Amino acid sequence: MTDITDEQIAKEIVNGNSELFGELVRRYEQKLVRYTTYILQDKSAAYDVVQDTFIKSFENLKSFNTERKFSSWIYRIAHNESINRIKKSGKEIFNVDFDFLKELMPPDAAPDVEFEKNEINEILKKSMETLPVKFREVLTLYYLENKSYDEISDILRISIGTVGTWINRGKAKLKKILQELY
Amino acid sequence: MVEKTESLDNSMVQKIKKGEMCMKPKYVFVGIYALIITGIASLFLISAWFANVLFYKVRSHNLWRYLSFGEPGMQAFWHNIPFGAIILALLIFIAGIFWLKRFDICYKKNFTFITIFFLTAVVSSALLMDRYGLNKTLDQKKYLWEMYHNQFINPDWVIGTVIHRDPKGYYIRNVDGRFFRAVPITLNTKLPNLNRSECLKIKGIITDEYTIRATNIYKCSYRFIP
Repeated sequence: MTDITDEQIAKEIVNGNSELFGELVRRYEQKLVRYTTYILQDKSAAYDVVQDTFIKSFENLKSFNTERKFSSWIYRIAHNESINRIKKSGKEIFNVDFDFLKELMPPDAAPDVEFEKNEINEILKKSMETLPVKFREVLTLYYLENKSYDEISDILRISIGTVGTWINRGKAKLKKILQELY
Repeated sequence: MVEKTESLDNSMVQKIKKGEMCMKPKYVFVGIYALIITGIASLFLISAWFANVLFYKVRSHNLWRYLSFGEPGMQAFWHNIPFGAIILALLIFIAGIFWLKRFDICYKKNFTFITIFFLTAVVSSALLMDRYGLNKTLDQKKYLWEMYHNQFINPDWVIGTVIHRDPKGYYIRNVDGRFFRAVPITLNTKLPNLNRSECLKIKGIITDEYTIRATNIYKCSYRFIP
């Protein structure tokens, strides 16, 4: 099953083999939970959003163009669902691990002694709190999900130039916040 | 909320089997897409039509000529610019651009470039509409009269400058150079106190080529507001 692409599976499902949808869920569940958790900063809300994402993706599978990347398409749905959830709740809760952002820490943020993992996480949490969702999202997609500029462009529906700008601005903002804190 | 993420794939498959999750038919998406594209194209075409009215008026009424009449000509010039059409053209164009952005069409391209491209397309279409005579048929339609025609004479009103006044009424000349004699329709019709070269609008019944029986006579402000 692993040698079949997502796009081929999607095609099969549309052609009537609906049970294959389970394979797509298996492939994307963890990725989407991680991604939506970083956007929503609430793991339980992320699970709900991922479930809704899969339901929506199945319902709309006939609108998917198999010439394009399935991952970008499903991430787009997850993005929309997350944004809707944020708009609905009107607040964001922080309860996540920001390890992946360690590399963005300015070198002088940790003077001589190494920070304890929890301490670093705490700093990064506080820093991320002030970052707008759009910057948090591009940083997550680029650094955590290893998405290319082109894929991020497809997921967020912004131009490739804007993707680059947002990543750089997000990094700069995060560094500035960390420098102000320490 | 799904408590055990491991079982999400199974629960999804179960829902599909039970018929709780169904794929929408393809024609729904084709229909929605067609509607969006048609809507956007229509917005740009309508915007182009309103822009075409501006080009038509400037060209056919030779609006620049009005400026040689001095102050009244300037007023005539401004009065004949179809502001309503310009505002509508701009608003509809903005709505079209908003739709393009809202429905994520062309997101890969630079947005400024897209806006300039569509603006050029709308202006070019407007010029083509004017060039190929669309207005020739439309300007005969009564409901489009206000938009298409010189607004210094209408079936029931005339705008012009005072060239002479006598106890019975005014003699005026409009920007096209036509002379009119305005006489009150009744003795109660008030005549404003206007001097030579001042502008006025006379509402009433045009009885022959140069006489208008006025029901109302207004002094015009700078913009000749009817």
